[in-house]
Amino acid sequence: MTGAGSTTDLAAAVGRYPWYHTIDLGQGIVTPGMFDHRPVLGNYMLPPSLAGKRCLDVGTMDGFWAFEMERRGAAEVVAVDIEDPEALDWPASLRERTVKTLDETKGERFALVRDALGSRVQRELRSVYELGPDLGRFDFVFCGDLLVHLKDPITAAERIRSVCREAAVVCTPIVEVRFARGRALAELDGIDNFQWWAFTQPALERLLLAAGFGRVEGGRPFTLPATAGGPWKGLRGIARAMV
Amino acid sequence: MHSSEGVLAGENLRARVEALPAWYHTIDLAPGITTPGYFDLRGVVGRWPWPDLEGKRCLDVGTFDGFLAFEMERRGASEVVAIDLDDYLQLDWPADYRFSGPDDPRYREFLELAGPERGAGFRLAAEALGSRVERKVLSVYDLSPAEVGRFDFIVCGSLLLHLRDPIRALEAVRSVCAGLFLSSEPIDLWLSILGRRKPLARLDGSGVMCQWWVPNAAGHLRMLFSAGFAPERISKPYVVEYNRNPKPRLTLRRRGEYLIRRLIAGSGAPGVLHRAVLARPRL
Repeated sequence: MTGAGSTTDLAAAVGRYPWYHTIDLGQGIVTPGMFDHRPVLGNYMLPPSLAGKRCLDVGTMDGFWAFEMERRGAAEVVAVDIEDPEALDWPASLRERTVKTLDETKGERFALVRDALGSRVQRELRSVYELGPDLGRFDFVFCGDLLVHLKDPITAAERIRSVCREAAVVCTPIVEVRFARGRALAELDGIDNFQWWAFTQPALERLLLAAGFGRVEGGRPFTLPATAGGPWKGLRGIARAMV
Repeated sequence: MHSSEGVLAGENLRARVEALPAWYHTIDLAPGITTPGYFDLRGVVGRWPWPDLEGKRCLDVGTFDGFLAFEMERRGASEVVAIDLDDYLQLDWPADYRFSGPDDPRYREFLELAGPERGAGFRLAAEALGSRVERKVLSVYDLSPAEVGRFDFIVCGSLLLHLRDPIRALEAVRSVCAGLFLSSEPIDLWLSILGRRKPLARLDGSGVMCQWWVPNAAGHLRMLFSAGFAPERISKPYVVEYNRNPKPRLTLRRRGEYLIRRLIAGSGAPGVLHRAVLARPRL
């Protein structure tokens, strides 16, 4: 298990997939993701240390955030995702004609990264809508870039609240509405993109309060540098919610 | 003798109308007897883009006291089904106003205001009007052809804003729509003017009014379209006026809003700005 052979194998394995997350696997191998969060990691309101914490990553995809929480010392990380691309909230107009390759191989990609990193993160098949106390409660929950793809972000936020023991950080692509600054609004797509409600930053905070969190602290919106993120590159809103 | 019986019946009806703690709709039940509803649709319903309902099988979604169901019957529908929930606890309450159960003291307080029996107003109105509308206890989310069959015409008024997932609700409506769907919903005035082409909705999610999403005009259209409806006719904006609703204080901002509403919607009275869209399934 040394040297050039395994590195070549790993590089070849990485090369077989389209990647969602850019993840450094070590040995000079980095997955070519649609989204590279590394340059803006400081904006994500993650506690510097998660030592001893039980953590949950919601909608993990290739697992960047799950592995990041593990790297920060989490005692246990559970990552949930759904396997069946048909089970996603597709807008009726897109369901038939969307190429779903990125969603078909996410389980394999996650496993590949997990092995390469020697990680102990557990991946569970579960929709955000189905989160419940049977998974146990989590000290810290992270949910990144998922809400915008949900027809019903309110139920999702409530389910996140239901498994959260201390705090959650939620990040999502946001819009700015010039003529209504400071208001809790969402722009609705649901037709052309795999996107439903794009919140304003105040609406993201309102959502978390509406979901039953006791206190919400808004972060500063920031731009995720363009890699290959399609319509979702760009502005992100973020908030930390406390039980 | 006939007339004295009529008067008795009238007095009896009046007493029963007054005995109910709250009416949602303002409905003319008999000469001189009108329910004291929070909202009054009588003046605006004629401006909606109704199709001909003669002989049609019709559905009213979220009927409450039944104003729209009776209106469809009056317009010649051969059959009208009206769905609603009987249990207040099953509404999409926001987390800060969710009752822990029937014994929650806040729930008891709420029932004193709203009345213990949801559907009592509908039943009294239906009796007084001699209506044959069938009221069925069913959530909009659970509409399906297996449950209710399909309808030539469906109306839904001022309901979507109270739902946390309006699009799933509209998709359920589409599943039982074999003809046309008329959707009358509140729209936000300023967002409709300033964001004419931008489908927006205001997120609330707090309090006893149980409101989640209030769209602008483009947002209302987009909700319908993304749920699989294509618009055919769109009404001008109109104001659903308050009847018994407490009138809000006249702030400067509100005065301005009423003035603009008078210009675009023909009414400067306290109430809620709405728009109606007649649509057909496109999928």
